[in-house]
This record gives sequence, C-alpha cells and structure tokens, in this order.
Amino acid sequence: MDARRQRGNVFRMASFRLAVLGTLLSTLSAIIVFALIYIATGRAAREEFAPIVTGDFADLQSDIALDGTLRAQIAMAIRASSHSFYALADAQGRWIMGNIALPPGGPGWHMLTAGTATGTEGSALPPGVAAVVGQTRRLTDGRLLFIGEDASVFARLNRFIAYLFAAVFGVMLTIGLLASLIIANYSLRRVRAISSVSHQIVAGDLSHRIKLYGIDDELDVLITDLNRMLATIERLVENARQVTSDIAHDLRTPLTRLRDHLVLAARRTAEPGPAGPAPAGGLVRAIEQTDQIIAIFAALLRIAELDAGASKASFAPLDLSALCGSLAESYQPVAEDRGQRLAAEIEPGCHIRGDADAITQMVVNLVENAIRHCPPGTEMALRVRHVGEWVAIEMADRGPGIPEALHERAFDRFVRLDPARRGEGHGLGLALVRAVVLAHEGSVALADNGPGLLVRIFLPAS
Amino acid sequence: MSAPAPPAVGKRTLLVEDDAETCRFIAGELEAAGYTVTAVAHGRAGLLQAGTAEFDVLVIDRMLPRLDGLSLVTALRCMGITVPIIFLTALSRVDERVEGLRAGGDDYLIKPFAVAELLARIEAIGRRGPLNPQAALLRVGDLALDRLRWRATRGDRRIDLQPREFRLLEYLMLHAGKTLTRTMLLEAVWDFHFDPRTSLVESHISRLRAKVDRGFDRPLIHTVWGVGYRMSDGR
Repeated sequence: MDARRQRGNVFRMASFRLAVLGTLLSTLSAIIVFALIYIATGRAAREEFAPIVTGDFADLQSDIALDGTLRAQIAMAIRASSHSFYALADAQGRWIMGNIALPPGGPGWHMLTAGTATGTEGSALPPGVAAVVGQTRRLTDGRLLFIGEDASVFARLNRFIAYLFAAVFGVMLTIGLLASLIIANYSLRRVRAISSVSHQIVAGDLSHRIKLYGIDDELDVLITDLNRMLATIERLVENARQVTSDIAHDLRTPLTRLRDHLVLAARRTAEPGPAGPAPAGGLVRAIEQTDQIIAIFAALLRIAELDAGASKASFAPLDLSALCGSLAESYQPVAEDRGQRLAAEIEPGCHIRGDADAITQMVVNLVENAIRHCPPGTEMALRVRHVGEWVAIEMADRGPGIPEALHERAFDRFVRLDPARRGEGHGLGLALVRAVVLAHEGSVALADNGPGLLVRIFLPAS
Repeated sequence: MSAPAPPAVGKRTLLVEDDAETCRFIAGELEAAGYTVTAVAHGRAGLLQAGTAEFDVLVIDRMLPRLDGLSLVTALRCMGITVPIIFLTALSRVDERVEGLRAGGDDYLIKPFAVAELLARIEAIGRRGPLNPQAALLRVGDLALDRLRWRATRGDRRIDLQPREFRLLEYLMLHAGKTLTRTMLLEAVWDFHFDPRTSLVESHISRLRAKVDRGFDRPLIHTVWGVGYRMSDGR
C-alpha cells in the first residue's frame, strides 16, 4: 500500500548479487589455481635439489669412511660451499653443530623460508638466503643430520607468484565489483523505467508505454508484453469512459425534458395562493423526485469518473489544513442551526497532492453525514494532522454511530444502514468518499468513537 | 412577463442546441422572460449566426453536430467576438468545466437545469450592472462594503462579518438587483461544484440577514421563491 516505498537500491538488486557471486566464484577458482601453482613450485624445488642433497649425503658418508670424524667433515664442507647448509643434532634433536638450525619435524624433506626457519639454536637463515631446501636423515648412530641447499631462486619465484596472485586477485575483484555495479545499475535503470511508467499508469495516465531497449533481451520481451497489456487496458478504460459520457448525454437529456415538462405543467396548473402562485403539491413532489434521480445520477457518474482516474489530470498541491479549516467554518453555522456543535482541530501545514474539487466534496460529505445523522445537541469534530508520511483527516461525532459489523458495508453504493432514514439521502455519500480516497491512493476506515462514529482517512502527505 | 416588442437591446439571444425538444423548451422559456431567441441546431450554423448578427448573449451546447461547442467558442473568440457565452452540457467533469471556461466560455451550466437557473446566469453575465467589479467600495442603499479594509457598515452601524459572510455579502452586492441562485452562490462563494445536502446556503444567508437587515425597516436581502436570493434597495 505504501506507494512511496524505497524504489530500488543498487546493492539489493538481484543482478548485483548474481554478479558479486560470480566475481567471488571466479576469485575462488583463481585462489585454487594459484595454490596449485604454489604447491607445484615447492615440489619442483625439491625435485631440483633432491639429487644435490642426496649427493651431499653420499659424499659426506664416503668422506667419513676415509677420515673418521663427522664433525670435521661437516666443518670442512661448510667452509667449502657457501650455498650448502648443514645441521647436526643428537638423537633427541638437540642441535650440536652446523651453519643452520635443525628444521623441526624430524627426518624427511623440508623447505625453510624466512617465515618457517625458527630454530632455537644455531643460525636461522643466513643473510641473503631466502629459502633452503633439504633433507633430514637419521644416521646409523641415531643422530640427526640435515643437509640443505640454497633455494633462493625458488623462493623468489614463489614470492613473485604470490605478488602476481595478489595483483590478479585485486584486479579481478575490482573489475568484478565494478562490473557488478554497472550491470546492477543498468538493470535498476530499466526496472525503474518500468516502475515509473507503472506509477504513471496507477496515477491515471494510461497513455504511457515502457521504452524498449531494442536488444531483444528477456526484459525487452517482458516489456513488449506489458505494453500490449497496457494498450488493451487503455482501450477498455477508454471504452468505459465513452460509455459513461454516452450515458451522461443519453440519459440526462430525457431527464431534462421530463423535468422541463413537469415545470411547465406546474406553472400551467398553478393556482394563486397567499405567497404567489402555488403549483399542485403532486407536481412539486414529482419535480423533487426528479431532482433526486438527477442527484443520484450525478453522484454515480462522479464515482465512476473517480474510479476511472479521470481526476488525476487535475491533481495539484493542496493545503488540506486551509481547505478543512474553511469548510469547518462554513459548516459551523449549519451545525448550530441544528443545535449541534462542530469543532475544528486542525494542525496547520498539512499538504497533499490532489483534486481540489474531489477533496472538497469528500470532506463536505463527511461533515454533512455527521450533521445529518446526529441528533441535536451532538458534539462533533473535524480533525486534520500529520501522521508520519500521511495526513490524517478524521470526522468524529458522538451520535448514534454504526455497529462494527456494518463498518465495511457502509462504503458500498446505495447502502443505507439506518432503516428509519430510508428515503433520505441516496446512500452514495460514503461510496463517493471512498472513491475520492482511492483515487488519491489513500485509505479510509470507520471506527467506534465510543460512543459515536469516527471516520478516519489517510492521504499521502506531500 | 411578456415580450411585446422585439428586438430589445440587451436581450438578443443566440441558442445553439441540437436536441429539438430541449431547444424548443429553452427558447420558449427565454421568450416568456422577454428575450428574443435565434435558435440553430448545429455548430456551423451557430458560427455563421454569431459571426454576422448582433447578440447580447450566446447559449451554446457542448456537444453539437458538425462543429462541436468547444471549437465553436474557440473560433468565435479568435474572430474577436466578445459576447458573453454560457455553455450547456451534460458533462459534469471538473476538467471539462475548466476546458470550457478556458476556451472562452463565461459560465457553464450542467444539464438538467431549472430554467430559472439559466435566466439568472444570463442576467448575471448578460447586462453588466453599473458596479465595477474592481470597485473598492460597494454600496446598496445605506449598506456600504469597504473591500480594502474588510469593513461593512449600514447607516452608521458597524457590521462584524466572518470571512465567509464577507464573501457572500460581497458577491450579493456586486450583483445587486439581480437574482442569484443557490448554485451560483455555491460556486462563487464556496467554490462548490456539487450540490451539498444540507442547508449550507440558507444557514449563511440567515446569519447574514441577522447582521445586515435586523433592526432596519427596509430589508436588503430578498428571497426569490423557488430560485434564490437578490440584494436590492427596492422591494
């Protein structure tokens, strides 16, 4: 019902969510691909260095066979090569000697990088070395020996791959999100175009059509169908309007003639009386009845026009406070003449957009309903105030009221709830009120005023 | 109420109405009220008549064969013909009334109407009274209305008026001597284009009478039985 609900937010668009999901999925696949590359690089490094390391172990073992002490051989080997690394530890893994810490984790292949080389004793990675790949073996006497090779090249390659990954990831995410926004914006624009046209249609202007983008996508297909539907609706409404004004012409003319003949007959048969010539009572009543038919007809036509949205063309800004204030002032004497009291409780500055004639007639109907259905001595009040984004118009009285079960029926055409008043009025007053309210996209309801009747109308404030 | 000597200046009427019976009735009633009536049945005949002969008021139906009422009036106004025009119509829609007035109509009467209503409207727009509608001071007998200071006095007695009573009195005084119908008052004073179902006009007139006429020998606000009200210093 709330016509002024937020009209679409880019971030809440289905297309935006889909595009973001797509971006996240492709980012995820990128992560997997890069992880595989990363792992493969590590494995390649090990495969590259495995023969060297294995060779070193073999050399060391053959050297030990020649010249008994392992420690001396290791010290020699350290001196001989700047990119081979050794660590000797006892059976419990306690470091004994070498130029690097023993990698944690026992026997097996290890890759040490700046982040993972956290030996407690000995040196960590030497300066200028980014990574070491090597193997820890348990010697026959139970001691642990780690021999590693400088794998800086691979570490640099890995770092390069990581940087590349971060860059690609960033670019992908940025482009993906930007593209999502653009796609969502585009869809939102098209949805808004449809929504704005449908608002104009709801507002009564049926001539609008939604613009095609001419790209034959699913929205264009939908728009083509919607436009075809709108054309049909417009034709039907135009037909209904045509019928209405035809009836207006075709039935009002004979009604005019009937009334004219009655007036002529009344004049011809008038007999002189104390206050000028007085026509026969039967003819006077017949003229009154004709006027009654004409009034019913006018009210019905008015309701039909309002339902067809005919008054939308004349919508303009309207100061409801001023209008109701002036109507209350006009009707206070009428109420006083009937011994009633009509109070006006009107908050200033309540503005709406509407048809001044229709709104005037609506408020007049409310006030006259109260005046006509309440006995002398009744207190009544016309109230206007802001309620959030709405303007509330209330007509409250302390009269006989309407039983709650009949509240909804009270708005139907030709319903007179008080059988004692049959013949008075035409039972279209509240039906017309509702037609005006609906034409203004508002709501109307009856409530118990404890005692009495409360008619409450909400119209969108402007 | 007879019309012995046509054509009386100020009472020459052109009636353009396609329905023969309605036309005969209106013409008969207008003639009974002293008007001379030239009646034609379609728009082009109306254009020809209005363009060649002198009239004091034109009464034109909105829906006419051959040239519709709206186009006829637009054409007449383009030709520089300034005679007052009253539209007759079965269409009561607000925008259609506005359209009619914008095309150059001076008044708009919705069918069916009482003949007295048409006569009152012809009288109100046909012969403009001696009063200038812009006059700052309106006078009827010893009643004076100062429109700039929003003040009314009768003789040397000051009359306090509510805003709506002021507008009602102002409208009555501007058309002093002419009969104003209830519908005319509703349109001019309240801007109501529908029939209220309570005695709105009567209540306000009776209050205005109590202020303007009570305590004076000669009443100024008169009731015209079955038609409406008239303000005048005479009868």
